[in-house]
Amino acid sequence: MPNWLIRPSIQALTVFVILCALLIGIAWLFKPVIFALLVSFTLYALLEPVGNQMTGRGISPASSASIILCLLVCISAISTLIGFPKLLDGVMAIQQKLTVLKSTLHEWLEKLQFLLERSGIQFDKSGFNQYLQDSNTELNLDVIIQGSNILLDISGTLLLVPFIVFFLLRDYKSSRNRLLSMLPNEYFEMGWSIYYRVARQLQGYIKGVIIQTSILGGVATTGFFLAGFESAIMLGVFAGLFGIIPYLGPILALMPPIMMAMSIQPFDIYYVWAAVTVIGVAYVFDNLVVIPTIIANAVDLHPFVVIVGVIIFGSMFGIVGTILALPIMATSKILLVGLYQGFSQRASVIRHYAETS
Amino acid sequence: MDNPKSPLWHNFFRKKPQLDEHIADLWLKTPLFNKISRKHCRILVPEMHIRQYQDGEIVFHQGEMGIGAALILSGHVDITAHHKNLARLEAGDFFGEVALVVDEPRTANAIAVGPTELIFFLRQNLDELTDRYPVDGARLMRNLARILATRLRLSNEAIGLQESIETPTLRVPDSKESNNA
Repeated sequence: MPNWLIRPSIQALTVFVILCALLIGIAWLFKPVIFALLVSFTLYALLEPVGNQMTGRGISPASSASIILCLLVCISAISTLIGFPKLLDGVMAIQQKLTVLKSTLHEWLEKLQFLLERSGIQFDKSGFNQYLQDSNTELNLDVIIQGSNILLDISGTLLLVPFIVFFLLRDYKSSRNRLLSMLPNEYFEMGWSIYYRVARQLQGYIKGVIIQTSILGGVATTGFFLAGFESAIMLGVFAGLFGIIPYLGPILALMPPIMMAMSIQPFDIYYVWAAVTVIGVAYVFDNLVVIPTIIANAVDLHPFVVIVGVIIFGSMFGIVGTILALPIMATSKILLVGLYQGFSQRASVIRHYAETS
Repeated sequence: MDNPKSPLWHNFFRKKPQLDEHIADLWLKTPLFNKISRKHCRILVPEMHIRQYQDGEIVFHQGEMGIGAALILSGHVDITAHHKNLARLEAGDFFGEVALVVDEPRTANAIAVGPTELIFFLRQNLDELTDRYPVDGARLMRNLARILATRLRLSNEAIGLQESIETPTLRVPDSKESNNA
C-alpha cells in the first residue's frame, strides 16, 4: 500500500466520505418521512433529559416514553386548538393585504414612470404590470392548492411525529449501543468519543435555537404589537423562525412586516420605519444578548464559512437547506477533527513503538 | 437459557437480568462504586459497553485518548508502560479510571491475556449518573479522587525509592529523622 494512503488525513477523509455517503443514502431512503424524522429527532433531543429523569426514578423506559407521548399529544392538541385559528386568521389577512399591496405597487410604478419620463429617461412598466396581473389570476388557485398540500403534509407529519418520538425515547439508546458495538475494538473509544461530542453539540444547538427563536419571536411580537401592526403574533412567529437562518435571517425576517406595512391604506411611512426598527431591535438584542449566552458555544465555525455554507445549502435545498446548514457543518467539523485526531494519535503511537522496539 | 453458540435463534431483544446483576455486583465491590446505591448502579449497567478481546490484543495504547474505565468480567489484563509490566489484573479488577476525569492520553498500555471480556464505564455514563443522581455522582467523584490520590502517593513513593537507590547521598532526611539525629 502506498505511504500516502496510510496518512491520518487521508484515512480521516476516507472514513468521513463513507459516513457522508451512508447518511445521504439513509436520507434518500427515508425521503418521504424525512421532515417527520427531523422534527422527531429535535423533539427527542429536547425530551431525552425528561426521559432520563423518569427512568432514573425507577420508571421503565417504555412507561416513561408512554407518559411523555401522552403529554406531547395533549400539549400539541391544546396548542393546535388555540393557535391554529389565530394563525389561519393571520394568513387570511395577509392574503387580503396582498391585493392591496399590488395596487400600492402599481401606483408607485406609475409615479416612478412619471418622474423618470420628466427626467428624460424611458421606462416601460408594462412587463411588471403583466407580471402583477398574471400573479393575481394565478394567486387564488395556487394558494388554495398549495395551502391544502401544506396542510396535508403537516397533518401527516403531526400524526407520525408522536409515534417516532415514542420509539426514540424507548429504543434509541439500546439501538445506538448495538450499532456502535459493531465498531472494531481498536476504534471503539474513538467512535464513542466522536459520537458523544456530536450528540452533545447537536443537543446543545437544538435547545439553544429553540430558546433563541422563542425569545426573538417574543421580542418581535411585542414590538409589532406596540407599533400597532395587525397580525403581530404571526409577524413575530416569522421573525423568530427566520432567526434560525444565520446572517441572512434578519433580511428575510424584514420582508413580511415590510409587505404588511406597504399594504396599509392609506400608505404611511411610519409603519415601514416601525417594521425596520422592530426587526432591528429584536435582532440586535438577539445577537448581543441571546446568542452569546445561549448558543455561542454550540457551534464553533468561522462566520465566512457559515455565510458561504448557508448560501450553498440554500441554493441546493431551499429554505430547509439554510436551516440545516449550520448543524450539518458543525457536525462535519467535529467528525473530521475527531477522526483526524484519532488516526494521528494511533499513527504516532505505532511510530513510537516501531522506533523504541 | 440462551445458547451463545446459536446466534440464529438467539433472542436479541431478551434482557439479560442475571448478567446485569452480576456486573452490578462486580462494580459495587470496586472502590470506585463504594457506597453507591445498588439500585442506581443496576440502572446504569445496561448503558455500559461489553467488549471481547483475544489473547494479546491491545485494549488501549499509552498515548491514545481514553474516554472511560474498564472492569474485567473474565480473563486477565496486563498493564505495561515503557516496556515494563506494571501489573496483571484479573476478573473484578478495573483500570483506566484516569480517563473518567480528564481528556488526556492514556498513561499505560492495557493488553488482554487470554480471551478476555471487559465492560466499559464511559465518561458519558458518569455524566448521566451525576445528572440523574447527584448524591451518588458526588460519591463516585470522591471515590475517584481517593483512588487517584492513592495512585499518586504510591507513584511518589516509588519514585522516591528509585531515587534513593540511585543517588543515596542526595536524599534529604525528613524532620523526624533529623530530630532523632
